[in-house]
Amino acid sequence: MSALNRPLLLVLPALIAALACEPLVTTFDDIEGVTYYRASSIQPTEAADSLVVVTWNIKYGGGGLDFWFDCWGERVLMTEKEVTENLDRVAAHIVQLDPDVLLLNEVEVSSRRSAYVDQVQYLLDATGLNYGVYASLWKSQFIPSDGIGRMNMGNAILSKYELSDGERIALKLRSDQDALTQYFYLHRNILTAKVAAGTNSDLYAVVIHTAAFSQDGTKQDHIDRFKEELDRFAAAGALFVGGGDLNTIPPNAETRIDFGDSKCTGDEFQADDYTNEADWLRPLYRDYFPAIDTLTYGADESAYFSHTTNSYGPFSRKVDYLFTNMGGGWVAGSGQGYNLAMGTGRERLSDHASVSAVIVVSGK
Amino acid sequence: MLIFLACLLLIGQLPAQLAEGEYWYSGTARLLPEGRKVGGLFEPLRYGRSDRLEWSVNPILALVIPNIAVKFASNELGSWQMAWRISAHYPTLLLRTLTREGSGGLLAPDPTIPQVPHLLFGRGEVLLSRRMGAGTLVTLKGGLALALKAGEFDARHTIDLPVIYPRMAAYRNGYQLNLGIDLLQELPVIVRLWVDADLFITPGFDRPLAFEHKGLTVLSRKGRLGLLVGYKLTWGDYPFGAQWHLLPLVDLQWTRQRKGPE
Repeated sequence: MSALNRPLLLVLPALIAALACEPLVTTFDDIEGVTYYRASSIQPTEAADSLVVVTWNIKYGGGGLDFWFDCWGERVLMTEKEVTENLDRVAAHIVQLDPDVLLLNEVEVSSRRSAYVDQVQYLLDATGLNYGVYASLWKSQFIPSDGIGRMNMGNAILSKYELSDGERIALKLRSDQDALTQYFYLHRNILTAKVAAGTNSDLYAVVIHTAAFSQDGTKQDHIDRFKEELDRFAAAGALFVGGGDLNTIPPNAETRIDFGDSKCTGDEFQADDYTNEADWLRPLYRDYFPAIDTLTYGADESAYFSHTTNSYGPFSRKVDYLFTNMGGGWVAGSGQGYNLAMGTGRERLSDHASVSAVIVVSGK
Repeated sequence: MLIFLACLLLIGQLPAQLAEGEYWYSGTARLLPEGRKVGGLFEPLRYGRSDRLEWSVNPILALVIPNIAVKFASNELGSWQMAWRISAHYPTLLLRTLTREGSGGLLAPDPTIPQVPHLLFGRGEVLLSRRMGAGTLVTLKGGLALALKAGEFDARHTIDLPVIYPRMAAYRNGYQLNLGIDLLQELPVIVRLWVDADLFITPGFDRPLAFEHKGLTVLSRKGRLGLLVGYKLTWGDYPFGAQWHLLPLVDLQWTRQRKGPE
């Protein structure tokens, strides 16, 4: 071995490795790019006069399985068969709704608990939607707790139309956790992308999943940040459809505490008290068009409930929303909640119900 | 068992011991001299039982993962020194301990996953070493590992991390082959370089290959303490896809000679 080769022997592999490795937990910049997806087969899309927009938290393909964090069961890791069977049923529901733009929460692309199934790609290929963008909110090579292991969960936007200009906007981290827990915990985001739907003005899709369990004001900060982002698009003259799991209930919700389906007793996973949150969504309802306005909601609340932690019980609260600034708003009466289509028990599609509405595309 | 018998038959007459200053390297066909002990913070405790037999055990890990390894010197093969290394461990206790809720739970306490079965894991390897030029010792190795299980080792029992996953793949698959090469390079004064590369092949497994490479700088001034600093580069085909990892390696080792005739 020559003297020249000796240092190379040590340095070269280290350089290769430094270029190839990823950190244990991925942290994010304030603004980042996103991961783009395409369906394996692109379906031809005709210009439409209206767009169907759907938001849905799909519980990472967990269907009606009872997981440990909901305190109803002890499941941690699914088999690939369980995941694909659940996703097939999720995909069938999406096909029924036939959305042009689909906002998704709790989608996983490489997580041990969902058998490493890339759910964005799976749903694109199973629904006829063509394009997708994805942004992680929980990405770790290994979470050394409860056997969770590798995790990559996030928000996604799927569409029949091509997506571009995707951005991942970082949200504030919880401040009520110790540094180690915070490091391994969720790094939530707002995901945005431009939708090439042929509108005269640029059309953006915006999806958020706010903090659920925080007791430190983080959730309100996330909702305010979401509003700021929508304001930014509106101020720039762009159109938007935005929504997701906001983890709070409408301003006029009758029941604000003790929903009867929460089984957890500690504070960590307690999300059963919204008494101080009555005003948090008012700015969104005031400045933009909700898919289901307070009048409609108040007339029949249970029809629009979109979440429960009990797979065998009825949906108990509305936490999933759609908003737009499109002129004229949503088509009257098009806002729908699909809790009755979610099934019951093991057959339930998710712990959240999908919400849909239709907008007329101006300028066509 | 066949490998064990083969080892016994192949034990020859020629001594093949590590020289002074080479005690830190466990991956060669050379053995510790009789009465020589070597231990480390992370490396197993090794002991030269005789000129032709060396055993090792990791005493800290032994509390939760009983383990032992023996190395036999064998006949020379041409200009190559040859030795056989047989190792065994019982990981069930550790894996069941790690199956729990909360922090430190590396395996999921999911009621649909069967309990980790009783499992005895053994690996037999042949080691061939020879000098190549001044100050370079080359070692070739090849081995076969077998996992004897008293039940199903579920796919969700694996820990999908570098170094660990390729070995657990053998638990699940039942057997595994390994091939490797070690290079030990003496440098002037007190420094040596130890570089190796290992390939793990798990035939019939859906993700059959893993590669590991180690580069270590070994500092040993007076021969009693050795500081090993370096890295481990791994490539594995994990259930989520192929991935490289770079890990730091640090160990402090010590050595002592038992009093009495060597």
